[in-house]
Amino acid sequence: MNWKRKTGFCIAIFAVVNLASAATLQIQITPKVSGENLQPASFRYQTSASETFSITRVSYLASEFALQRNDGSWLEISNSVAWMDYEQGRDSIRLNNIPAGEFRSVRFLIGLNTNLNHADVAKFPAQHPLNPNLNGLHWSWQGGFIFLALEGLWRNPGGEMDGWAYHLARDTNAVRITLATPLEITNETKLELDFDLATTLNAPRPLSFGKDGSSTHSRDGDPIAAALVANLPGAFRVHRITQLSETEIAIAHPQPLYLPAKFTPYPFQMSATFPIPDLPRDNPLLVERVELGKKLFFDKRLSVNNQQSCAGCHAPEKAFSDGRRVARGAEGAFGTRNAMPLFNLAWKKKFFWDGRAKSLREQVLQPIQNPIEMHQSLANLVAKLAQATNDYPALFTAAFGSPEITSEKISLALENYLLTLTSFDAKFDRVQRGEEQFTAEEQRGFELFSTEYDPRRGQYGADCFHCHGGPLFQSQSFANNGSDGAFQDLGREKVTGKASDRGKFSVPSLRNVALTAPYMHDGRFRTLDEVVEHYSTGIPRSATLDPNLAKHPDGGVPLSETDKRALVAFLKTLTDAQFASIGK
Amino acid sequence: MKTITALTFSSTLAISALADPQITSWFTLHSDQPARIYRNNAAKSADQAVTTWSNGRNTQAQPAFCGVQEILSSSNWVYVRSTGLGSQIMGPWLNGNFPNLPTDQKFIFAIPRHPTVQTARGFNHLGEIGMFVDGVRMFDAGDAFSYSNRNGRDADPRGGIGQGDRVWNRDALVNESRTFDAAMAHQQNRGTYHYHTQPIALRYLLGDHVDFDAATKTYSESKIAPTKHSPILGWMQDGHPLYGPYGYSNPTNPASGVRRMISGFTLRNGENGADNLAQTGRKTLPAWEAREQNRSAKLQKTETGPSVSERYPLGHYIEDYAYLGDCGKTLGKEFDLDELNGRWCVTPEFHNGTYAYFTTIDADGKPVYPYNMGRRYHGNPVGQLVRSINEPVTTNFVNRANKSLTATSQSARTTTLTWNPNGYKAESK
Repeated sequence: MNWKRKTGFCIAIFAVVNLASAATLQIQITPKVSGENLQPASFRYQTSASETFSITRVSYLASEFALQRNDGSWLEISNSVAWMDYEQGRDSIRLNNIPAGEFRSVRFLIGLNTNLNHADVAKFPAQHPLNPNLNGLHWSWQGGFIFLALEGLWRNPGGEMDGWAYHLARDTNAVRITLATPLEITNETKLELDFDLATTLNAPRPLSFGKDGSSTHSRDGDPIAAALVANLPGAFRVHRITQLSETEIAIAHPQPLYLPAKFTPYPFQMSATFPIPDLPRDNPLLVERVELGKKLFFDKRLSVNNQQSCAGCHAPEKAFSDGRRVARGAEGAFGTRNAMPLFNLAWKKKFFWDGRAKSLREQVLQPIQNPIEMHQSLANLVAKLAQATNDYPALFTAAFGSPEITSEKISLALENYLLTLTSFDAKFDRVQRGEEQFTAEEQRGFELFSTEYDPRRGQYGADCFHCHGGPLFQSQSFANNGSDGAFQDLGREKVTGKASDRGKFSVPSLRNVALTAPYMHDGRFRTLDEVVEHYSTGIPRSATLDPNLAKHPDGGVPLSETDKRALVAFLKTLTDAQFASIGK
Repeated sequence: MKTITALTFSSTLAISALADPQITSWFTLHSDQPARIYRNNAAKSADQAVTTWSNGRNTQAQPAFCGVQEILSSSNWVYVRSTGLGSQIMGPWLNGNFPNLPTDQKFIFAIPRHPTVQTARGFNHLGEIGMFVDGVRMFDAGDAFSYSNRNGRDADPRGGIGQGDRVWNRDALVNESRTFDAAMAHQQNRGTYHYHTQPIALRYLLGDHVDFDAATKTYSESKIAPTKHSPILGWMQDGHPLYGPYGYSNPTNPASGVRRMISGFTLRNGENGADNLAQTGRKTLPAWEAREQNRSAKLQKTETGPSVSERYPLGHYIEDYAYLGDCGKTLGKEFDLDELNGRWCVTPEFHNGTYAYFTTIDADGKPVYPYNMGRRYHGNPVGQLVRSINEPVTTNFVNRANKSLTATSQSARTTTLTWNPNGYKAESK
């Protein structure tokens, strides 16, 4: 085995060609607060109204970068769009093929022009900054992107931890930033900008969470959006400009692992409304590999006592969940968390409730070995599969080009199979295609689901879409959904070690949710009615409570009994009956 | 010479440019907001309003917008489509124990653009008499019940004795106000939210000299002296406007300052030149009513009302009021408004004058009889609710939010991704 196989990547090294006519400008934008580095999730900031607050999210889109020549004319850099996100460490855009020379200002748009803002998002490639699954900034049924998402917590006048969420959006709110600076671009120039959040929230128009409101969704005439638009142009400053020497840029070109000489590409099917997922290039979806993965998934020999297959806790008819409060292992031991349903995994980057696995191939081997789950060593498993049947060697040959069985190949085959579990034919989808209609109650539920709760702006929705938005009804984030005020299960914190991740768990998809009871990471709620009740009356405040929940009144979003029933009725339209019959 | 021509020209322009108040006076600021209610006092204290509700009898299962949704017009009619629901948070009524809840009425109110004077005497069939500019219905001063001489008691919503003799007609404010919300409105059994008297919440929204206490969520007449003419609060079915309580001191002089319009009615308690029912018993109709009905004021034995008592205090019936013009007082001097509760005057919207009704309140802001209109219209009440509009119309206003959220229609159904050594290729169909 060589290093290539271990990493699955072949690293190609390119040197930048030093061409006088074509240079590269790298623009790096660093969020600051009053000139200091941002301290995320720290209660150290104060508004002009002396409200203590923290900042937990800084995510935005920048586009239409342009440089002004010394003669005053502008060089527009086509297709320049960046998604910047503090938490993801995305802070730069590389602008290639710029003519070297001297410029006197730089400008860009916070936000997008109308065309781009309303483009068909299902067409953006997986790595494109505007792919909604990547940036999490697309408002599916409201149209367009969030240009700038600033979120955090604040202490309200009652001393309670409250949430704030300022979402700047809508065509007319795109803000042009122009910075005058002498800028000499040689072959590789780096322009470092500061994005001051204190200015953004304070000058010239100071915002107070108590006085002006703790959330905006930039509807027409919204004063918070207007203040952000007024403040943003002054919030960007040039920090410094550096000329980089010849830089080596590593570009990863993943090569397919164990590609057999003869293979059939697997047709991965998804809704035309879904964003394009970032399918693994080193583990291409092949019919042969998917078949092997499926056989492994349903094979009880994966467990120590041959009593339990993966499907034991992930039954297809329950959208690959098990109906139990917490999972039960091959030897009868109970875990502490609810077995997660398995579908639309191609749009996830982290797996398990706490996101401890960074890929499916890493994930699948853990339950096999976990003593309270299938409790089988990988060496044992490989030996068992090699001996037990003469099916497997042939299947491995078809899938990987050789009969040799390894745990890595097992994980790649399972990953292949799991990625193909896509669910996209619920009543909701048929309504979207105009083939069926919602009942009045379901329609009401849909409106509640997709509308924010923001009494100051006259919006009285249930505010579900912030976390469960988009055609996948999920987001890639981890959130404290108010399940607890004090935490027995620390959730994501156990993985990251960060106190700011305490009590956060993966935000699950709501597709097929009627099939996946009980609910929450520990299966505490038996019914959807209980879940809706939780979000209406059962949310305790805590330091890591998601700002989109913390901004609501104590307990949650006030909903009438009729509205609660309507929400449940809508959630039931997300059941994909065809998907539930897979594997039967 | 040139200058004078120009001045004349521009003043002509200014007059012709005055927009038609029947189209422009409507309150549409909240038209794109969901109507809301407080179910009970606790919800009101906690500021927990809901946009859907049901009590088993009146159900608002889907949120409805506030009030006016569309204004359409032809040369003879203005049509206002409204949910009939208030723009303020409505309720609670009797702390949630009132049997009726408001519901979306989806009505179209047609108002005549060219009111014609009613020449015949006689009471009009009353009940619903107009619409406030927030799209909420206006009911008259009565509550549809009257005294039953034979039974010796009022007919009332408990039923059993019909609606009474229709001689001594109950005053809605006196008999129903305990079921009003803070806005002074409630709804009948089919969910039509309505005011009988001044619409104090609407007046607050229109800036008509009303204060709102956000802590107690109550409205009150502003203590400051009024400085501006009241706005149009609504339109009667005869096509004439109803104004708030403050009109010009001199009906034909807009520079004469503003003051509260004085009702033409007084209690028959022996004061202000009126007779005293406490002494005489309820054995005569007031002169104004006898005149309207072209009959003797003296009532038959079978028509008399109950003696004035704690149970039937003065003011309990509309017939407990005398018209000041019949009591030796002079209209335009000692009081402002005629038997119909209006006067001919100029207003900010009608520089050349109009017949206008004014809502009547006392110095503390408490509604006083006849509240919005007397027992007859000034003009022919040809305005009414209509089921449909059967003539070509111009759209003057439409609530653009009033379309439900739709899931976008997709032509392509499925996207398929297949791997090749260069990556994944996407195909949609």
